[in-house]
Amino acid sequence: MFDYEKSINDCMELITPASILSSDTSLLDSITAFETVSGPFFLILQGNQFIGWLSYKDLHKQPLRLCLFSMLINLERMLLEVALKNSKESFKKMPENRLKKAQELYKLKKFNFTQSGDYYTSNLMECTNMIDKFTIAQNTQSVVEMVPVLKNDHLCRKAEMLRNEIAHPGMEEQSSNLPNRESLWPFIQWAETLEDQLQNYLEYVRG
Amino acid sequence: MDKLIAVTTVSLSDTKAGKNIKHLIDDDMTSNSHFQQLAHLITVTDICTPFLSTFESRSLVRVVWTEWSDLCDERGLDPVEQIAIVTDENKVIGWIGYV
Repeated sequence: MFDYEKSINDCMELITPASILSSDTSLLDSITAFETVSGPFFLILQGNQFIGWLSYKDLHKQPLRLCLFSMLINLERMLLEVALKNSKESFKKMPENRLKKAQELYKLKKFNFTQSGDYYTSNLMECTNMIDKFTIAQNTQSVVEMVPVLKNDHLCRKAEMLRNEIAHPGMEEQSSNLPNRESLWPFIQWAETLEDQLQNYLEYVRG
Repeated sequence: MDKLIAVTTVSLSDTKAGKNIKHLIDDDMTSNSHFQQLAHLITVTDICTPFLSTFESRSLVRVVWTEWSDLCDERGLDPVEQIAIVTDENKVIGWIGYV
């Protein structure tokens, strides 16, 4: 319990060097700082003046969401390109209920049909979700051989969840669905490795 | 995204800030990661939370408590999620808060 008649000198915390970050520290470096230091927040020093404090919650403001979304939609674009390499085979790798969902969306979007009444495969593929594209890539042997990080199904699902969470946010700006402090940096590293491996695969198949 | 960054650079190229951004982008061209390219352009200054206030170390807890509550009421802030700086003769010596 506080003694209300004491001075705050008796209950304040001292500033330690480990709790200070320079104001020009990048968002990227602050993510790794939170991974390596266990304190609840950092004090931000600009010149010789403290200008504010940074908690892990602050990382989940719009700038980080923008960075994560940029990475995730790029991953989805690459996965789409992978799936379109052999679209007819790709659709066979999707569960029937997911294919049906994509077909329903195709009709809702009023895409045209071919003269023989079939779906245009590229348009139909655009109606799939990110998780469908993951499923296709994970079930394509030649892709998994060159993109082994796809075997981490847990992180594939997390990427899909995070993409949807950022694209369709609820009322709360800082959602609890974003990765927690321990898992954010490992997730980003996994996603960057996936990005690299998919890039290499696509360059390989493009010849 | 590369195109987006390029457009941003051109639109800011006549300003000091724009030149800084261009410099940062050029420096980071070795990284293919979209995440890293963007995350290097944002600093903690852009996302940090300002301190609730600054208090003299000799201030009584009772007085600080009242002022703390009033400030949070005025600004619609959660009192539990605030930090304030503690000074002694204008020199920062510590912080107080619930965090």
